Amino acid sequence: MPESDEKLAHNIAIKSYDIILIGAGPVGLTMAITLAQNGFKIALVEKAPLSFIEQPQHDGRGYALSYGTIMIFKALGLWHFIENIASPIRSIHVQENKTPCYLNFEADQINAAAAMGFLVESHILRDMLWHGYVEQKDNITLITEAEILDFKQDPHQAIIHLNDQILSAPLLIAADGRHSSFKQRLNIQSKTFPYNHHALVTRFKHEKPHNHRAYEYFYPAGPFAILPLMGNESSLVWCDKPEIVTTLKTLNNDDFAAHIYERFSDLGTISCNADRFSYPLSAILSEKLYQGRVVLLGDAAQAIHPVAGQGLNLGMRGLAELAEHIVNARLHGQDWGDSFVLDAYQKKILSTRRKFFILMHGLVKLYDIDFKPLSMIRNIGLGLVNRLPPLKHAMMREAMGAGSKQPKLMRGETLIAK
Amino acid sequence: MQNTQTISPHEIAHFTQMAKDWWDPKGSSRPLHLLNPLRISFIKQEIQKHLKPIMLDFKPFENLHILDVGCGGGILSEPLYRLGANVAGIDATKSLIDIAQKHAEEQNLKIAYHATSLEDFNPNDQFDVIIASEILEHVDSLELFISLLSKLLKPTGLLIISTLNRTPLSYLKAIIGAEYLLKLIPVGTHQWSKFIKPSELNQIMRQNNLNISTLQGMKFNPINEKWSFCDNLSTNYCASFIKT
Repeated sequence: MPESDEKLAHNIAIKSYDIILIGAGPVGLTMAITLAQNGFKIALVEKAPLSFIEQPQHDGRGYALSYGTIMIFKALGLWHFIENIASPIRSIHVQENKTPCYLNFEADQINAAAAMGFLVESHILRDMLWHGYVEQKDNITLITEAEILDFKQDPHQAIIHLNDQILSAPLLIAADGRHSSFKQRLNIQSKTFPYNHHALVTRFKHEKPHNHRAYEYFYPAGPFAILPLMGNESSLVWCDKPEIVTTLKTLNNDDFAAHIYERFSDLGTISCNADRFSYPLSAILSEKLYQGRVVLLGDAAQAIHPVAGQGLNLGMRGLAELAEHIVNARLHGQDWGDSFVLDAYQKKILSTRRKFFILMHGLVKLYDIDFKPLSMIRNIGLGLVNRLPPLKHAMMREAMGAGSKQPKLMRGETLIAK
Repeated sequence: MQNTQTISPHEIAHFTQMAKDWWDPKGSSRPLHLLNPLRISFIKQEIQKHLKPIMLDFKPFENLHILDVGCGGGILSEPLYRLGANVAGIDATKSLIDIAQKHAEEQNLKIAYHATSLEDFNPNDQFDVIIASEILEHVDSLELFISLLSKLLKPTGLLIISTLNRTPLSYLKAIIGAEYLLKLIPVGTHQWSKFIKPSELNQIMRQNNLNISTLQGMKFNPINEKWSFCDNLSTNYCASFIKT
């Protein structure tokens, strides 16, 4: 018996949980809340200090929450915390460089919702999740500043050694980010697609109201996106060559505003005083999503280009699928960490992310090439899509997470019938 | 001639062969693993209808004493236990009971397994619910088997079965399709002649004071590997009976 061996060797009791969750980022924390609401006892293990979760700081990042992601937050009873401070996106303008052809998505073209999505800054989202965690404290044991000294698994459980305790559970969910340590521990291979640009993210004020329109411009050096915040303020994602991003970061506020204005003058004069952050960009796809009793979730499973802000939404879709399979297994007396459960999740997610990745990666790579004939084809393509409502609506529904075969949470339903 | 045995040495030999990969998700018992969610749904539904109108989400079978007849390596006994039941499992194949016992112990599941034929099983108490899932078609004397089940069941107790119908279509699907073409289960697992028509089954049940409550078809989709309920009874079906 593994349990008594462990006890003998370390002379400390093993605490057993229904599920061990690694990583209290947005997806990990939402998963902990979801499972706790459905009666699971969770150990949530995070390497950062408590203040990182309790008082999230502004890091420049904004999330474009899709319709499906918002439905999940509504189903979990979390959305009301930020409903009034999340900025709706009512239309999206997609254009190549300064060429005249563009693609325009309007929210009222599809009936699903008044807004296509909402833009929320990362610290606001994480603050909402902290409130959700506090409500579920009884079922979540949060262990911060945790260092995982050892990990092993047998046919029935996963076991981790922390500094001062040993935890075991029939399932371990690794939501520990794009550089997941569990992926390395299990030797799960990934495909990495580096992009030759970095992203600069910040927010800025503009003279005219944005009317909740998002702008996506594709430049040869990388995508340039303006996303509406509340009031006359927008979030900026500027992808460019690493050295240019470094320069942009060090400019004074006025010079930086002038550089934005040079590319984007639709909303009048621009002023900047927020911190600027930069991130290297790459897409990382894990070749499989589980091994034994460890399953990958969120960026650990797949990290994609932030061009359309879909990384979190894809992670949330994975969450909705995995949570539904786990709860269903328990309702049927099944072992929720066995391969029947994890295999079903893997199958669903691999096929969804294939569609996502081809769309997002394809878009970025397509616009990477500065070659006139190709540019013409691209513009004809955008023009065509713009004039073909059914195709455009299908693309929109998919990106909004309102496609046909959505998991329960993404339809705003609870996992256990009331 | 009156039969006194319900299980043949031939059947035991066949299942001994299958013992080694019983819990392998990709092994020869995969279709049984896949059947679990559907048969648990049926069991839950029937228990709710007849014995427990109010159920807890994760412990719906609390306080029920359930017998799993022909439990094999415990594929159905384990979920029944997790859902709160007090479970006994019996099987005539000793090597399968050994596997069931080991598998339950490793997870600290307290299930009472017994390597015995039904005729040699003498429990202290009768059961609230008896489940005979995918076993009737392996039994030698169905009349004797059912009469023994009836004796083990409490008055007003519930008997739940799932088995295969004897029709031309079931020969095509369960023997030719599942054993030879798709190789879902080992060749020789089933003998078509032992399959049971619902009407024949119901007649034997009635002779043993077991009144039919529900009769429901089931079908397997080999493409997405999903079992679901259907109106068609021609191949797989499940049923519930109340003891009067």
